[in-house]
Amino acid sequence: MNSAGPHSAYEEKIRDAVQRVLSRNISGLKTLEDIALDFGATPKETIYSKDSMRLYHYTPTTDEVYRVPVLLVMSLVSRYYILDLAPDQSLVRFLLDSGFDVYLVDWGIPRPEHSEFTLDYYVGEALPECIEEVKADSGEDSVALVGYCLGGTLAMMTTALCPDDSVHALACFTTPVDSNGMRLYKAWAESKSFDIDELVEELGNIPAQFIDAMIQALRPLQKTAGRMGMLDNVLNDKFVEAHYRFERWSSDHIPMTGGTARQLFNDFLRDNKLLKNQLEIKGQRVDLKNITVPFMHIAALHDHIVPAAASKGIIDLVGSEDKKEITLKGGHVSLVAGGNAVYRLWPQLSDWLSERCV
Amino acid sequence: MTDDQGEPFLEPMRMWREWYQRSEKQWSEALTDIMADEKFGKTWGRMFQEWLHAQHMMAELIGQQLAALNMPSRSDILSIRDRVGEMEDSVSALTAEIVQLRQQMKKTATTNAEKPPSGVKRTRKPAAKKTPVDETGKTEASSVAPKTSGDSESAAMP
Repeated sequence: MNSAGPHSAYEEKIRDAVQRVLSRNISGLKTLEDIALDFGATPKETIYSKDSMRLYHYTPTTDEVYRVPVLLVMSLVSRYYILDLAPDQSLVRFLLDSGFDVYLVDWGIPRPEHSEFTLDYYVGEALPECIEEVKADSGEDSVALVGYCLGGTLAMMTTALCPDDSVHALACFTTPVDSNGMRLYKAWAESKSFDIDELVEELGNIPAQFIDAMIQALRPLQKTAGRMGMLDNVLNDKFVEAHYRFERWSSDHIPMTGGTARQLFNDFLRDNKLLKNQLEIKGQRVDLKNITVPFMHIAALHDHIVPAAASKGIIDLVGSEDKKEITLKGGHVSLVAGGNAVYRLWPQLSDWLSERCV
Repeated sequence: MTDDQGEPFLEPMRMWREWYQRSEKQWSEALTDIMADEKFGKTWGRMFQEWLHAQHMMAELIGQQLAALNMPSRSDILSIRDRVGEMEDSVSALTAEIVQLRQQMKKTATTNAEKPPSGVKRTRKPAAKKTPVDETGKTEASSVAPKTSGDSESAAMP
């Protein structure tokens, strides 16, 4: 074809466009191929196991660690590896490299025989046992708890009920305590048309797909928008890699035990009992004012899952004298595992813990 | 961004994508408002109950047909998954026991050396100087941070 005249400019543009599309596809395929299953890869040992729950101890990366060990508590509906997403995108690794002795509670995937597990099991049994195991393993008499999302709520309840000084400090991120701030879930919980008991009776545990759908309902078009953003950045390998890692994690939810779902739905969402200090664990009332250890809560500015309103006033609920609440840029997940977490949340957490874990 | 930014040639979809991304939050909020409405809740609740019954009936019906064909049903596969889960739990419990035994042996061996079980010194102190980070977490370094999927408010993850 002759390329003289005004057509040549168009031919050039068409050629460029075709090349660009091809290189995007090749780049996309290459990235898919290159992304190994390297999540949760930081070296660790399972030091305690009960039902589907695992307690991991990460191998310290420094010769000298802070005296008080740090126990990370995950949410009940998310896989633990968001805190150890990739070798260069890992809160766990950051804490290790900062000189902490790090442990993590992974709740695992509940099975039908666990469907009766309620918060009594998680808060009144499993988490206190994990704390005792960490104490025994580290040789220390207390631990610092760090809870993410619902894991933060579990950690707060456990600390409030802790009879001794086993909890040395408590840090939570994006932790819901006030269901009035969770408008959609609150509306569902208050609706007479939705019968949680029938759902639990029929299904046993709430399936992971259902949990995923509930989270998607909070921002129904976000996933598609994210994928479009990925298309615009397909030549940016780092962006694509991070996108796929998040996509994989965000579609990897875990079922919630029927008993816990029923309790959260009725006591937490509908009746807001935690905020009113009326929630009971094994017959014992949870009064958040009993939390007197150093406390920090970190909220995310763009969090739509646990909006600021759902954790508003958290600082006033606890009885600690040393307490702090900060809001950082980011969404519910990018706060803990996004590309900028290393400049935002991680150093804040590390600095706060380092002053209290000596 | 890619090198073709600002070059809409042959990329009409790009403009649409950009519009979608910009307006996604508003559309999502509108949809969430609808879902929070009691009328929607009633309809959805009824549909959901019907779906539960239908699913129960279908599972029974298909299960019978698959059994007649000597093929496993979904619930059969799920029960195998649960069995595997049970085995994983057992292996994990054994692993934890072995780790604890090893720890105890190490502890016994190093009793005189007065070393903690993990073998690391627990004497670290916080550094005197820290990088100042403001409430939005912005430091000088963050302005040169590479753009990644996780930074975006409208990224794919929650």
